[in-house]
Amino acid sequence: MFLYTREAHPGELVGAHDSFDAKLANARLLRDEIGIRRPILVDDLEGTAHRAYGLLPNMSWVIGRGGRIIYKSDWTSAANVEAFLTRYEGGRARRPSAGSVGPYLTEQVEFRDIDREAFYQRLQRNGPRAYDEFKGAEDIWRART
Amino acid sequence: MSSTGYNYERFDRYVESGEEMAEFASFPGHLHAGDPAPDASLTVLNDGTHVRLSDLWVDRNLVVEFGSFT
Repeated sequence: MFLYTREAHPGELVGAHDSFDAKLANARLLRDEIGIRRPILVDDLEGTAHRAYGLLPNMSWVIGRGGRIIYKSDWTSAANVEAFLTRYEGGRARRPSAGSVGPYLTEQVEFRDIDREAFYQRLQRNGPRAYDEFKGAEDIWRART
Repeated sequence: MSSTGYNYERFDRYVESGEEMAEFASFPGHLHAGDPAPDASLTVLNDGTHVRLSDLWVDRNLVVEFGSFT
């Protein structure tokens, strides 16, 4: 499922949410313009769920049956999530084999593909200022390194 | 409460304030695999009904991607 949060890059055309209705209207763009088919669930205007999970703009989490976190990532790679689920569900299916399979935890650095041009186009779709402000942020990040 | 507010108007100010950096820095230490998942009440876009995450994770592994239009 897709959990819709605040607009990470507000602009003239798709702006920061000032009401829940505005947030719902923006969420509909995900379904109607981008074509997301998964269920879209909308967080409240204050971002309660977003805050509970860490406020990052495009995290992915997997919650196991019964409510334990089994996967967290600070950015999203669908391929990585799918590969994880295959391993995890495979491991769960094998567990009845008396003591020969057990769970363990890892933390790891992974790499994801980034389509910068497509991202810039999405910024422009939100409005020219979304693009300009992102470019401004790039200057800030560069100055920090 | 943050200096720019949750629904910030300007991404560059949000970065400049250090909030964005603080959020990324906190993430590794905040919630881990193995921990109980925070529950939350959400609005289903297609029909406007309310659902809790705990209603959804009761019988499946729940993949949750957070995001916005960009």
